[in-house]
Formats: sequence, structure tokens, C-alpha cells
Amino acid sequence: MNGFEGSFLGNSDRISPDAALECGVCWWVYDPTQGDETWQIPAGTPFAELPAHWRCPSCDAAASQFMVLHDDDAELQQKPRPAIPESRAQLRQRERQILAAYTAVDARMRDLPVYNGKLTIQVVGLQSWQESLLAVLVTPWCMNILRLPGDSERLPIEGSSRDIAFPSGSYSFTSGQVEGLGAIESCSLFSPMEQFDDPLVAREVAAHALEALLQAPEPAPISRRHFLRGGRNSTDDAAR
Amino acid sequence: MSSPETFYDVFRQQGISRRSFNKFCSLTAASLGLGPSFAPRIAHAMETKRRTPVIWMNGLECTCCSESFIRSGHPLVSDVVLSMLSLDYSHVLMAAAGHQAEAALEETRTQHAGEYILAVEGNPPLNEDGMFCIVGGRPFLEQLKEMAAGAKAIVAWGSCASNGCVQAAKPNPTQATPIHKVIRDKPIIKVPGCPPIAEVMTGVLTYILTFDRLPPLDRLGRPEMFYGQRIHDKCYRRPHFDAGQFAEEWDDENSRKGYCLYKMGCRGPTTYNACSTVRWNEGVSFPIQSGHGCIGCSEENFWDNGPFYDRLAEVQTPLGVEANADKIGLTAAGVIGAGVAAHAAVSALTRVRNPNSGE
Repeated sequence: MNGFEGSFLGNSDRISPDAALECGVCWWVYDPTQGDETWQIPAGTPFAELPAHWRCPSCDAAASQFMVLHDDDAELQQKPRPAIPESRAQLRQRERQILAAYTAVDARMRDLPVYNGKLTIQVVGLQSWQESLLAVLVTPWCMNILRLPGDSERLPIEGSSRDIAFPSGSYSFTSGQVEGLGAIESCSLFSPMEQFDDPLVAREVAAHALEALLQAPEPAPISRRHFLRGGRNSTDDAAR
Repeated sequence: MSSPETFYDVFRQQGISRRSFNKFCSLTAASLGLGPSFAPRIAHAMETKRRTPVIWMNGLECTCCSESFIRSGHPLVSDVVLSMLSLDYSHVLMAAAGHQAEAALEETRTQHAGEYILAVEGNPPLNEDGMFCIVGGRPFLEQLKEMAAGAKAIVAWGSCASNGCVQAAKPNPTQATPIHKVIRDKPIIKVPGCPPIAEVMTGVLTYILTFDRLPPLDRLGRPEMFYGQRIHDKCYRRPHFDAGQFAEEWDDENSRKGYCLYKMGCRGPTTYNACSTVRWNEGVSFPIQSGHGCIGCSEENFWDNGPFYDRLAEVQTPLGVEANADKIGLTAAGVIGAGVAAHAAVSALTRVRNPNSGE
């Protein structure tokens, strides 16, 4: 049985055995410690193990109408599995994986005019960021902010964009698939790469970009005049 | 039309509700990349400012710019068009014709000297003393110069006015010339594209009318907010490019999968325009989304840059990528300092950040 409308997006595995659930229609509460006399369910039966024909004894609503009332263990269960490598060695391994994936792509790009042969493939500043991995990818054909989702995260459909908020502002990321790497999201910084001559320079620019991405802008100084007039800051006037 | 009515008066006369007026203002603020706080200011300007006369002239062109313009997304935008343009002078939209029309033009020129905005669609041919384009019995060049003299600013609509377009393609028998090479003493905003996106056109006009100044322009004189990024930067097929997934034929498996069209001649990587973000027909689609590569219609000399279906291959023309927009000195490795790299990184990041989100 799955499809709990209000609970964990229908993922019944997420409901811990001790969870009490409430009927979404009549608010009758199923408490595993009590069981259910009407359907002759013995006390101690978790909600997820109720028989398929079980319905709300009070109003006859389907089991899928029930929502978690309180669930002490759910917090723990909700946390994604430790998909994000924390240790340095794991990060190194992911970095090698990314490099390998784009090295395979490189073979297909090499004879194209957008390919800047002076550059090499680099993964700059790979780090975990909010349950995902973040890096700047430098290749001879593009420089992108790359975001690898955690295992439990489902990305939007390939080719669609969404805004992701970072300390320095929000950026539009487009999701895609890379062979050997799976689903990724990226935001283009440069492409083609004709203005770069040297892989070290590209690396430096990438590192600076990542740093600036994760850095909150200093708040603009509030002028006294604007403050008293109710304006927020002086940039309010100017159209950028 | 000499009565001092405001835009808002015109809207009201046409039976447009306050609600849709406000909606128009916030949509326009959004499309100009200004953020929601600017909507009330646009509304305020529209309510209080006198209507600025706009004169729309057509030279050597195909009218696709006008056609695009009158189809701009929000219904109210077309009302802006009608209330701002048709009342003064526009071949396509005005009711008057013949001597009556030319008289209206003359009247605006004299009564609103120094106030009106001149929108030019198409360009003047210079060969044979301009005989290849005659408007009202006179060469268009003459009329253009005359009207430009009294204009506050000039908007070059479309690729014809901005960079010559098809009539200026080799060998250019009529010597069609973009207007910035004919008129040198007025501020000219170039809005290239064949045609430009309707929302871009109305956005530019609204900006000028609201803030009483020109929008920020890039080095080539194009409004930054619409021409600051390449099609390639925000293309929804971009992940396929990055991953080296290309369509090799028009009907192959890869093109069915929606892979990148670069190898089919797409000019996205060298074209600066807003198609991949604003899109067309009220944001429904744009050429690449419809399965055809970008032909780079807003770039200079796009007719002469080789067949549309040839890969960008040797198209690293000096006029293409290199000379455009924000080239940064990132060459000569040993010479550049850390400051240059940091600056390049930050400006790239600022370019891709969503407007107003980081403040």
C-alpha cells in the first residue's frame, strides 16, 4: 500500500512503526499501541502493515486518506542516506568520477571549432553544499557551475530550468544527463572558452567564481535619508 | 493629438481596467529585469507623464518588425502600441494615408520638436541618391535625416536598421546602410533581430517612456538587459552540448531526443539575444525548442556568415564572438594578476545571476 496523500509524498516506507495517523476526513486517530477493535487489529500493529481492505472505522475513508499525526522517528528516517561523501577520500573519488565522465565527452568534442585545445578538463573546488555536491567544471568548451544532487533527490525533467538560491543570489540551473555521472544541474559561466589561453587562469577564474557564489554580498549601506523616507537603500532609485 | 493626456488616460479611454493596467506594469518591470519594486514606479510614470509622441518610420524592410511588435504577448501591450504609435505616424498602423499622413508627420515634427522618439524600421539605400526607397515622393534618406534632426532619441528596430540585414548582404546593390552610419548626432538604441522579440520591443519603449532615459546599452548600442547573454548561455539544450550529445542529421535518433543542434549549424554560441529566456509567442517556444538551430539573426552580417546549416565551424569570424560584448583580457597567462581573474569570475557570475536576487 502506498499513496498517503499527506504523508511523505506517498512513501509509506517512511512511516515508522510507532507513528499515529489521523483520518484526513473525520480525524479519527489510528494509534498502533491501541490497534483497532472494529477491524480486529491487535495492538502493536504498525500502520503500514494494516491489511489492504482496512478502512477508517469511523467514516469508511480509505487508508490512503490518513496522515501522520505525530511520529518521533520520522525525523530520523527523513534524513537522506549518507549519500554525500563527507570525507576527503570520498570527495576525491567523486572528482575522479566527474573527470572520467567528461574525459569521455572530450573525445566527441575535440574536433569541433568551439574546442579550445589549450585548456584541460578540471573540477575546481568540489565540496558538499546543502545535501548536494558543488563544483565549477572547466572544460575546453565550457565553464559551468556544476551541482550533483544527493542520492535521494529527484531532479526536474531533463532540459528544464529552475532557480537555486545561493548566498550571493539566485541562479537558474538547467538539468541534464551525463553518461557515467547521471543527472546533474548546471549553470553556464563561460562558453565557448575562446577568451582563455591557459588552464591555470581558467582554474583561478573558476575558483573565484565559486567563492563569490557562496559569499553573501555585503549589504548596501543604508543612507539616513532613505531610511527616514522609508526607502531601503540608494540603489532603489536607479534602474540598475 | 495635441491634448496633454497621459498613457493612463489613454488606457482608461480604451476601457482597460485598473487591474490589467497594474498587471501590465508588473509584467513590464519583470521583463526589463527590474524586479517587482519597480512596478509601482512604472505605474506612476504612466499615470502622470505626458504621452511621448513616437514616430515609426519604415525604410527598406519587410515589416516583420511591425508584425512582431503588434503581436507582443500581453494584450495590453498592443494597446500601448495603438495609443503611443498609431496616433502619430506609422505606415502600418495609422488610419491616415497620402497627404494627410505626411501632414501628420510634419505636424509632429514641428509641434514636438526635440521631444519625440523616432523608431526606424528598415534602412536607407544610398546608391543612386537613395532612389531605391521613395516615401511620399522623396528618398527615404531625406525623410529620415529630417525627422532625426528633431528627435529626442532614435530606436533602430530590427536587423535592417541596426546592421543592414538582408538588403545589405553581399553584394548590396542598393548600398543599404544601417542608420547609425547615416545619423551620427543622436543617441541610437539598436534592437537587432529579424524580427526582434515583441516583448523586447515594447520593453525598450516602456523603459524610455517611464524613466525618461535610455536603457543601459552595451558596447554595440544594444540594451543590456536583453542582449547581455548568448542564446547558448540559457538554452534548454545546453546540457546536451556540455555532455557532447549532438544531433548529426535532421531526422536521426539524436535529434528526436532533442540533442544539441550545434552540428546542424546552430548559431546559439555566437548570438546575443533573449530568445532562450524570453522566448516567443508569449513565451511558448523559440527556434531551438521547435527543432531548428538559431540562425543568429540579431548578429551583424548574419546573411554573409555562411549557410545557416553549416556548422559554426570556421565561423570564428572576428566579428562574431571575439569583438562582441564583454571580452575580458584573460589571455597571456603570466601577465594577468589575481585581480583580473577575480574580476572576470565575479562579472561572469553577475551576468548569470537572476536580476535583483542578490541585493
